[in-house]
Amino acid sequence: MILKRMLIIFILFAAEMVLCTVVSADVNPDTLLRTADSEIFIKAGFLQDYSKDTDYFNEFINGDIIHQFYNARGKSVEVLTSLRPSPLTVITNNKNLQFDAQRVRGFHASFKMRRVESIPRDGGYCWLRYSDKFQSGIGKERGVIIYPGFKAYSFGPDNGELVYTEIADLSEFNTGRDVRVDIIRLDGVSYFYFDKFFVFQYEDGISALVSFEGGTELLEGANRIRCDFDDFSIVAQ
Amino acid sequence: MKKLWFLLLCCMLFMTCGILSVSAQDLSEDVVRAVTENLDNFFPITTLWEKFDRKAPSIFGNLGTETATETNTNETRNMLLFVNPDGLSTYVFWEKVNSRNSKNFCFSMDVTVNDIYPPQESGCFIGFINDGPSSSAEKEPLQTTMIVISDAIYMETQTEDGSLTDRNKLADRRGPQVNLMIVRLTGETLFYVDGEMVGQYHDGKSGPFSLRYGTVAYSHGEAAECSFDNLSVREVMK
Repeated sequence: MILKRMLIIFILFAAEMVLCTVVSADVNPDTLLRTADSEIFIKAGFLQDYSKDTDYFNEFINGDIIHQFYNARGKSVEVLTSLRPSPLTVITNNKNLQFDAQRVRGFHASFKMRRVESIPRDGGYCWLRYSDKFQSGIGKERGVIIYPGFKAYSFGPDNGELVYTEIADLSEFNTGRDVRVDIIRLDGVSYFYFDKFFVFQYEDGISALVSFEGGTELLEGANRIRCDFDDFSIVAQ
Repeated sequence: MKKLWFLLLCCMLFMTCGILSVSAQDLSEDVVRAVTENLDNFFPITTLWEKFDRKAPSIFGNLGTETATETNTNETRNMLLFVNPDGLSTYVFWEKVNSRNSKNFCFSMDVTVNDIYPPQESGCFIGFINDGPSSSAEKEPLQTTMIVISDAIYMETQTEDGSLTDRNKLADRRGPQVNLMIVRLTGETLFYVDGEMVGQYHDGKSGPFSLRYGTVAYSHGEAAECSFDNLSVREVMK
């Protein structure tokens, strides 16, 4: 009886090992980042290094929240400020961080981001997302959004509104310094790297081409969040 | 029993401090620092920059109890106010800044106090008033908010008839010429002297506001002679 149980456990273990081997034989995330640009993503790339300074752009949101963006000192800067604690959570992006013209299916996207200021310390996040927004329309898009230092979510439409589902915990990735993020999407699966270390993968179920955008999120009750972005590049298959 | 009373007293003191700190509506130090360090990008649009180096008409006024003159000399705008004080009235001789009405602005001038007598009863100021065309149906009472160099540097608010409604000392008097700056952003006003933030105020007015500078003589004030230079008005958006 004991032998029979051990045999079943062994068979299950062996089956799991075979499955794992099959998956890892297809893609090894750890080596993928090293070989991706030379062996898979060979189409002409896109690079925005924000080397040209721009004027400051300011606008008011909800009367009392100031949204600012500009390129300076080789970075794209995105800021939300509410002198009094913000009465609501505000999410913004800007034209310098929208890459709608870069529509890709399989890609290697790379960028740096840094949470330069947050008042209070946990007052908001920097984010970057990819989605099929330009094909599906705003509010109907599917995609993945990452908040370094917090979490990653997948999102998609459900009964007329976007529903977010947590897919990874990124709280250990300190964003008070430059964090380099790499996203490689291959055969519908996206592999996410922080500072060149593989962190998680996710099958997003998106069949359309996707584009990118980045920005800031000021949380309710907070005063200020500033994020700097740099060296956004995309190489396609 | 004594311990219980002591605890109760501590609790009451703690609650009083709590209430006071809530009712004091100052912006947090971090927010003030963020605004101060980022004035150039909060206010990137310069709408007026006046060095008073061109000829401008002189103004002379005599209303019996007060005499006022305004001239451009030595590339500064000079304003004189002489008053025969009645012990009751405040006299304000002001010039309206030729910029658009605005709710959010950074208004700066170099101000030299040539003569104020008696020092605690007269002064030189820059400020703003909510006399712009308002979009709200109800007209709010007019209020002038200003930073005044007198025997010290004060923040003041005045009603339309010149009555003082608020007066707080911000800093001691400095050298003969100082740079005064008023930053108003989303309803919060910060006052700066020579680039240093010295006070803040929440006026509760919706505006828009026009900007002013000039001289003031309080109820016992007799003379105020001030020179103004390097007027700058910057805004958040075009």
